[in-house]
Amino acid sequence: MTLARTWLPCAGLAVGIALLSGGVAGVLTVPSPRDVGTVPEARTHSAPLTTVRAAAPAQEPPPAAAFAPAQAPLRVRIPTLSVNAPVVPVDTAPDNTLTVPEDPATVGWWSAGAWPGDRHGTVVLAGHVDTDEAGAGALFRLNDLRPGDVVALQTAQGTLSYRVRALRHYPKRTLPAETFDHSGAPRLVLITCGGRFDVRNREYTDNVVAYATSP
Amino acid sequence: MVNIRKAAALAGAVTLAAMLAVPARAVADEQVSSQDTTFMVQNAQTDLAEISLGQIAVQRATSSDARNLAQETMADHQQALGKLQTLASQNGVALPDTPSAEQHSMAAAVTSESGSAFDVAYLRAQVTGHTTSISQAETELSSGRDAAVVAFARDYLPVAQKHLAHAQSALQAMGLAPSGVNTGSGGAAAAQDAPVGWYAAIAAGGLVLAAAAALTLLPSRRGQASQPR
Repeated sequence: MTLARTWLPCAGLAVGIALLSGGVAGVLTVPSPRDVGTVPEARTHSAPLTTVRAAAPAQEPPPAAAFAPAQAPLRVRIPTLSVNAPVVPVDTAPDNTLTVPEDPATVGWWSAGAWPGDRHGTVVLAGHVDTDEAGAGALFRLNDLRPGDVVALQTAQGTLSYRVRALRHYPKRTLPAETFDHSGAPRLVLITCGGRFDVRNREYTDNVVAYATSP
Repeated sequence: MVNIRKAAALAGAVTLAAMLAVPARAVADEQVSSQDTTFMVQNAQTDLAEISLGQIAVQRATSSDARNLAQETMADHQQALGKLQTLASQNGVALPDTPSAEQHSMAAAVTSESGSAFDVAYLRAQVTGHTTSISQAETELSSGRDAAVVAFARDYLPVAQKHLAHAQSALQAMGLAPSGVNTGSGGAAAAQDAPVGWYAAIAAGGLVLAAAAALTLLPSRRGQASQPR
């Protein structure tokens, strides 16, 4: 009886310590969200964006072309994610965070940044991963994008095609300012939320950023 | 007879003039190539676009960076246009008196903004416009034929590069980048992080079990220690 009274707690203690150690080790060793590909540097100038027009075969731009006409995006299509969403211009809120459309099925385009077709700067699109009320948003599966996937921006003049180069996960506080670059090499970024979910504040801990450039 | 002689002399003079005129035109064609002409036209359009947009920006820009750049570009492009007009008249090239259609539409897009959005649009147009203009000057340097036009391009290039650098610096200095992006309130996407949650639950369970066992052990050991030997 005394033996059982002594050994049972000892066994419980041993099992408890084993579970605690295993759990902590598991938390520490679970791979972080999948960062893949190489981020195209905004500060390294590359060739001008090649556009693929909807109504005409792809053509090389003429040498020393005049201004690339600014083209506001109207829709974004990501075939591998079955995304085909309308795009509307958005700006920053008073707290300087980027606003996103109220409708989670609509994607926001930061119109103070680069415009599709510009020779410089990053075209920034941001969309909901999900909302309390409506569930999954337009970019719910952004985390599933992989290098090589196609992203197409439809404008009034045609369609501009991009290929995904990299996917990155940043804690929200460390989202690089360079993501919103004005004057570097032309590229497209798509931003949504991910990581763990803070139930108390009803928000995610991370930003998921997909980087794309012309094909 | 006299009339016949006069007619013959007149015909001879016309023929001689024609013979002299043809080589003169051929020499001009050799000096100013189509590349030279294209560059002069492009550069004049850029100068006109920069001067007209600069005049608006001086009035409407809200930041000193944008206003200073507008004054700088206006002065430099007025000077460039003056030199270009001299070159063009020497070479018989007709320069346009308005910017291109694309430059018009870009200016319209800029002037449709107001407040700080105007500054951003103006500075971004400066980046785009000067990048294009630099490319045109570089093409003239590599492919131009007329020495005076090539020399003009050589003098113009560092000025355009200076404008581009100032526009880029001003954009960065304005610190217009958003500070963050919040795009989720549902929590459904966090299911992808389930393994972390499971491991955390196991660790918490282990902690509770170990603590309970330790509490159970402590009184029993105390009891053993207090027993008389």
